Amino acid sequence: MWEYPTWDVPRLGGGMAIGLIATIHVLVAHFSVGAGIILAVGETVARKKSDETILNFLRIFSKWLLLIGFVFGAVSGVAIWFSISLASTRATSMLIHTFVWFWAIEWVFFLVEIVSGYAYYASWGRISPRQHTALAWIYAVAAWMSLFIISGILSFMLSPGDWIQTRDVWDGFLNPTFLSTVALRTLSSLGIASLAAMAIVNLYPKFSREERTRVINFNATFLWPLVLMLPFAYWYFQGIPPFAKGLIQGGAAAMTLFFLFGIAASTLVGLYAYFGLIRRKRYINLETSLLLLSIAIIATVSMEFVREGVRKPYVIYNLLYSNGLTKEEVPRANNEGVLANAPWKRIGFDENTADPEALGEKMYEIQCSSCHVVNGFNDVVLLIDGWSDDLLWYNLERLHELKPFMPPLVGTDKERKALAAYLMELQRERYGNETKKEVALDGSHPQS
Amino acid sequence: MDLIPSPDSLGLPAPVWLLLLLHDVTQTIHFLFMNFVLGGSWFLLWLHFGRKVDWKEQLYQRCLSVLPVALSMAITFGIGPLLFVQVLYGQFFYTANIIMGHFWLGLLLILVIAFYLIYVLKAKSGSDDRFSSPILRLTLHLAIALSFTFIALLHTANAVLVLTPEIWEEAYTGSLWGTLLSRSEFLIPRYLHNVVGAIGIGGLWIVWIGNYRGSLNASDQARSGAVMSLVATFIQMILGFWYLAALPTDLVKSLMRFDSTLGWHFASSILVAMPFTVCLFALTVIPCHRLLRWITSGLGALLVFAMVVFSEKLREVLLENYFTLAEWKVDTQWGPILIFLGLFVFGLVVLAWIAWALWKGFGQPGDPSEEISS
Ligand code: HEC
Repeated sequence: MWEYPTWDVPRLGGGMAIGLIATIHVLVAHFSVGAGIILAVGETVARKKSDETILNFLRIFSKWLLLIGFVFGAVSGVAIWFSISLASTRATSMLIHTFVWFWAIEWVFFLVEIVSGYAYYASWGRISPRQHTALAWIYAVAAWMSLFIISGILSFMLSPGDWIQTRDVWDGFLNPTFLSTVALRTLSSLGIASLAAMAIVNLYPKFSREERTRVINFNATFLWPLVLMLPFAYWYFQGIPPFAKGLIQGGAAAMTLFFLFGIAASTLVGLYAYFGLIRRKRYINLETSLLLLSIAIIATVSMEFVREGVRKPYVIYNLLYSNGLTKEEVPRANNEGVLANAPWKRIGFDENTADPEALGEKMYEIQCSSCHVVNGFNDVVLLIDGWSDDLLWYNLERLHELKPFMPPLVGTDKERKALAAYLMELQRERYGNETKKEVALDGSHPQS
Repeated sequence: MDLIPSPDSLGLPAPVWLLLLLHDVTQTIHFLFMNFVLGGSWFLLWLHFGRKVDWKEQLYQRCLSVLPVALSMAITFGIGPLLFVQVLYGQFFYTANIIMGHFWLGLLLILVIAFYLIYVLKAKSGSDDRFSSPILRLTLHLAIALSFTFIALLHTANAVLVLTPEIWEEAYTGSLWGTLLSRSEFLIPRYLHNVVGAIGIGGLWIVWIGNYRGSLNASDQARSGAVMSLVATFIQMILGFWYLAALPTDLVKSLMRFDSTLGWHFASSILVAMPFTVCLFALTVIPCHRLLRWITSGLGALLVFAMVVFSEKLREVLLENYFTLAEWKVDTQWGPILIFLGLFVFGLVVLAWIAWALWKGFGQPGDPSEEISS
C-alpha cells in the first residue's frame, strides 16, 4: 500500500508542488502547439500572397517558440515526470505500466517536433519556400499529435471508463473525456499562442502601426474559435463521473466558479476577437494584448484546476486515492493496520512504546499529508479550529461521507484514535488552552 | 529487505527484452549527445582563452552553435530511458528518486538555468564581442560547465542508489548531502568514469565540427578534439581499474571469467575499446581523414552502447538477490507496440528528409557559421 518513502515539501506539500510545475508546463506546451498551427497556416497563406510583413513576423515568432517552447517546455515536461514520481509515486507507476507505449508514441512526435522546430527556425532563407513551409506543417502536426496522445492519458485519470473492469489499454485511452479534452486543449492552445503573438509583435518597434495591426488581425483568426469553449466544455462535462459533476454543479463552490470563469472568459475573448479584431480590424497595444493573454492564461489555469480538483479523492478515478491507497485495499488497511503496511514509516519507530500522538503523526503523514500540510497549504489545524474531541472524532469516522472529496480514514481502532489525539494536540499547541469558540458535537458552544 | 516496494501488480506491457533493447538504444543516443554537452562545455572554456586565433574563434562559434541543439537532443533522448527504466525497475528507481528528492528535482532547475545561460553566452560572444567583459564570459563558461558536471553527479548518485537498497535506510534518514554521497567509495570512481568518458566521446564531435565545410585550419581544429579524446581515453583506463576495484570482489572475479554473461559483456567492451584507442591515436595524426573519422566514431558509438549494456547487466546482477526481471508478469500490448514501431520508422524517414533538406540548403553560398545559430 504505502510501500514508498515520502518526499516532503515544506508548506506547499507534494501535491501542490506538482500542481505548480504542471501548470507552468501546460501553458508553455499549449503555446508550443498553438504556435505550430499559426506558423504553418501563416506561412502557407503569406507565401501565397507574398506578404513580407507576416513572414517577417513569423520569423521572429519562431525564435520565441524556440526559446520558450523548446527550452522551458522540454525541461518542465521532464519536471512533471520527476515531480509526479516523487509525490504520487504509486499513481505514476500504474500509469507508466499501463500507458508506456502511448508515451513512447508521444515521444516519437516530440522528437519530430523538436528537430523540425529547430530546423524551421534555422533555415529561414536557406531552403526553398516550399520546403520551409513543409517544415512548418511537420512541426504543427507533430506538436498537435503530442497533445492528442497526452490528452488520452490525462483524461484517463478522471474518467478511466471501462478500463476499470476490462483493464484493456484501449478502453483506458479512448475514455469518455478523451476527445473533448483534445478539443478543449486545442482551443486553449490556439488562444494562448495567438494572444502571445499579438503581445510579441508589439515588442518590435521595427513594425509600423499598420503592420502590427495586420499581424494582430491575422492572429485573431486563431482566437475566435474560443467562442466554442461553451459547447466543448459541455461535451466534456457529459463524460466525467457523476460525483465529479456534482462538485462542478455546486458541490464545491470553488470548482463551480473556476469552471464558469474559464468558460466565460474564453468566450468573451473569442467574441472580442471576432467582432473587434476580425470584423473591425482593431489594433491592440502591448498592454492590452498582455492583459488579454493574462485572462486566457487564468482561464486555462482555472480549467486545469477544475480538472485536477474534481478528481478528488482519487488520482485515478475509482481506483487509487490521492494518498496512495486503492479502493480495494480499504478493508485490508482496517484489519492489518496502516503502519503495518507502511515500512518506511516504521524506520526508527516502535509502535508499542510510542505515545498516541506520535503514532497519530505517522497516520497523518501517510493518509492526510497529500492534501493537508501542517502550517501550510490547506492546513488541517485551521479547519478544526475550535472543534471538541467529540466533534473531531465524529468527523474523522465519517470523513468520506461528510466530505466525499476525501478518502475514508483507515486503520485499526488504535491508529485512528491516535490520529485524533495528534490533531487535538496540534490544535492545543497552536491555540493554547483558551480556545475561544469551542464547538461541540451538537453544534452548541458550551464554553462561550 | 522489507523496504523494497513490490513490483507493480499491473505487470509489464511488453516482453522484457524489447523494453531492455529500447532502453539501451535510447540511453546510448542520449549519452552520445550528452557527451558533447558535457565534454563540449569544458572544451569551450579552453577555446575561450584562444579566441584571438582565427581558427579557434571559428571553432568556438561553431561549437557554441551546436551546444544548445545537442542539449535539446540529449534531453529528448533522455526521455526514452526515463520511460523504460520506470517500467522495468520502477520500485528501485522511484525509491532512489524520492530519497534524493530535492536534488532530483533540483537537477532540472540547474538544467534549465544552464540552458538559458548558453543562450546568454551566445548573445555575449558574437565575433565582435570577443574582447569584451572577459570576467562575465569566463563566469558564464564556468557556470555552464560546472552545472552539467554537477548534473552528471546527481545522475550517477541516483544510479548508485538504485543499485544499493542496502544503504537506502541510512541515506533516507541521514543528512541532505548524505543522500547523495553515501556509498562514496563506489560513487566516486563511477562518477569520474562517466565524466571522463563523456569528455572522450565529446572530443569526437569536435573532430567532426572541425572538419565542417569552410573550416579555417581544419586539421588544427579537428586535431584539438582528437587530442582531447585521446587524453581522456587514457585517463579512463586508469579510472576503469579503480571502478573495478570498487565493485564487490566475487563480482570482479566473475567479470574475468567467460562463463558468465557479465564476463562476456565486459570482454566485449574491452574488445571495442582497444581498436577505438588505436584509431583515436591515428586521428591525432591525420585528423581530416574521412574514413578514419567514420570508423572511429562508429567504434565510439559502439563502445558507448557496450558500456550501456554492461551497466544494465551489472544492475541485473547486483539486484539479483532482491529482484529479477523474470519475476515480472507480462501482458504484451501488441497493438500499441506496432503503432509505436510504425510511427518510429515513419518519424525517422521524416527526420532523414529534414536532414537532407538542411544539408542541401546550407551547402549554398553563405556564412556556414550561421548554421543553427541565432
Ligand atoms: C484528497 C485530498 C484530501 C485528503 C487525502 C484529505 N483531505 Fe481533508 N480536506 C480536503 C479538502 C479539499 C478539504 C476542504 C478544505 C476547505 O473546506 O477549505 C478538506 C477538509 C478537511 C476537514 C474540514 C472538514 C469540515 O467539515 O470543515 C478536516 C477535519 C479534514 N479535511 C481532515 C482530514 C484528515 C484527518 C485527513 C487524513 C485522514 C484528510 N483530511 C485527508 C482534502 C483532503
